[in-house]
Amino acid sequence: MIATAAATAGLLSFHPSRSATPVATEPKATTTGTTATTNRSKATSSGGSTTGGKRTLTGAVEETRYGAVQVQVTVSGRRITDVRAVQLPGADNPRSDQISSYAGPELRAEALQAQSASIDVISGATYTSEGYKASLQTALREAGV
Amino acid sequence: MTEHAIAAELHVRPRGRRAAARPNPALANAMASLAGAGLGLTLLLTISTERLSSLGNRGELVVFLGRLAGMAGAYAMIVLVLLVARLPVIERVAGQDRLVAWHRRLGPWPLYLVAAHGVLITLGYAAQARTGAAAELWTLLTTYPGVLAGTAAFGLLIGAGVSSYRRIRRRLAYETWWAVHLYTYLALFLAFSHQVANGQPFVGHPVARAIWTAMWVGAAAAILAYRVGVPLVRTLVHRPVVESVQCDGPDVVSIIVRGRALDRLPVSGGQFLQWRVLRRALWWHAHPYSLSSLPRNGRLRLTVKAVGDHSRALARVAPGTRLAIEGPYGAFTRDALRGDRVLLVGAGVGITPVRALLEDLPAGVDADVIVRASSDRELVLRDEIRAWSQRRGARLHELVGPRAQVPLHRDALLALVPDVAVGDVYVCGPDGFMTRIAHSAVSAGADPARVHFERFEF
Repeated sequence: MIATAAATAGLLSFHPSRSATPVATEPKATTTGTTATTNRSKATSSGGSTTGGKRTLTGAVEETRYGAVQVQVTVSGRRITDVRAVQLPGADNPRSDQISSYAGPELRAEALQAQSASIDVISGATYTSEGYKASLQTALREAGV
Repeated sequence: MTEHAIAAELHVRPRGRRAAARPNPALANAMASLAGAGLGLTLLLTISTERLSSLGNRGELVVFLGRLAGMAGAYAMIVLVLLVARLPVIERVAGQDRLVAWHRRLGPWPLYLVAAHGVLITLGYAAQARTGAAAELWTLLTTYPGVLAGTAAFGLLIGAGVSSYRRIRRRLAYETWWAVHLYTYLALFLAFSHQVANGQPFVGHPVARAIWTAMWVGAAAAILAYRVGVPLVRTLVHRPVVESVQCDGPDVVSIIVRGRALDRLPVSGGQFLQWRVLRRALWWHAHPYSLSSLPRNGRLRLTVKAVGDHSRALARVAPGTRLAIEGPYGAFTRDALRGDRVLLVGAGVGITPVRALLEDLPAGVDADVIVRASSDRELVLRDEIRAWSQRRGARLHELVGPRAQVPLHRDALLALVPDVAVGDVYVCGPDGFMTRIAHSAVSAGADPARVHFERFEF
């Protein structure tokens, strides 16, 4: 009886520690500017900074069913040199966490390759892909790319 | 109470006695429709929170089917436990023997569905993450809170399923089977925690989560109320105690039970209760025994064939021993009658509920009674059956002798009861006997829907 209760309590309190947020799995971009976030309602990005021709712009926060998505883009002239996810879904849902951990890098690679926001949806990560795309769009519009 | 005393009481009209609540087939049908609607709702919750346009994406269809299997399996678990939750509405219409049979037949389905759920989700997620199935399974078990609990629940359910498999159950002590089966409640609790923690249909859908939670909480409340609450209250109200035990044939004993206001126990002739002997090493084991006479003067009687450990222990139980009751249960009552012509058939110890049913028949019902035993000594409660048949104006047929000498085929039945086709037939006895009688009655023209059984061999 006691063993059963202990085993049950153990199972229910089993909350494995994930390797922090999926954002950490992306390459560390050298922060070149301040980050300011905006609401979806504004639908525009704010906060950009310039360092020697390189500009860093933060996209709008896109709320999806599984959580918020927000990206930060670094452009040099008209070239996208880096994309970083500031927020991806997964804070309170293990499935979203796992999806973000593989969809994040894939979306970044797609954006760098396409040099625009016309990127494909990652299978199994429809919501995240759409949010990523939309946030990227606002950042790029701000950058004038 | 001696036979003489009972016979003397035949002419005493019992006052204040309560019959079991009348069965309400319309309500039972409504419950069945509700169960169907629940399945529809479950699948709808799953489908409506899925984006169908993304089903073409890699792995998504497999994941979707895995979710459907998981949700359907979880819903099947609810239905499965509610079937045996002793809900009076369905219990009075379908009868517990039939409900247990459905529970057994449906039993493997949650296991199949949950197994499919585990396999499909692992494969689908692996495809989406572009990893192997084993790696994905490891990720699921170690990084998804709730998946380990769900897996443990599945293990417990498999234990219950395997130990209920006919061949294995026969080798197990009842105690073992019961303990393993009791763990399914823990399994359901763990399964529910897994569903709300990991269920993708519920992420970002508080309404879906609320509906789902309400279904589970409702089922848990019904189980607690009818499997624990009502029996506890009835036991505390009536305080049944063994008054005396008497031998009524080879290995057959009658137990007179005395209690507070037992006449007020809502029971009909032909029903049974689950009995627990409140003594160390016996209390946790409930057994079904039919009443062999309706409650009167604060007493009722059950007649038991001492074949198992429990019934043997019951035969030796000392007067004054406290009992706990669950029930009454069973649809083998006068409420199943559809006309005023009836044939009651009892064999061996199956004669006992027939005896109580005979006592409880409505006035104006024209009855034939067949009692069957292989020897005179095994014809239990013979004098009472005779007295009650006489009082009810019923024709009594006592069939005694070895099987070869007592045919029960269609023509033999027709010779005894020429108009068996026009009435209701009630049969209680060993499974083989009931099958033979039912077959003879139906081939003689009886309506299969009007042949009623009480199965002893659960």
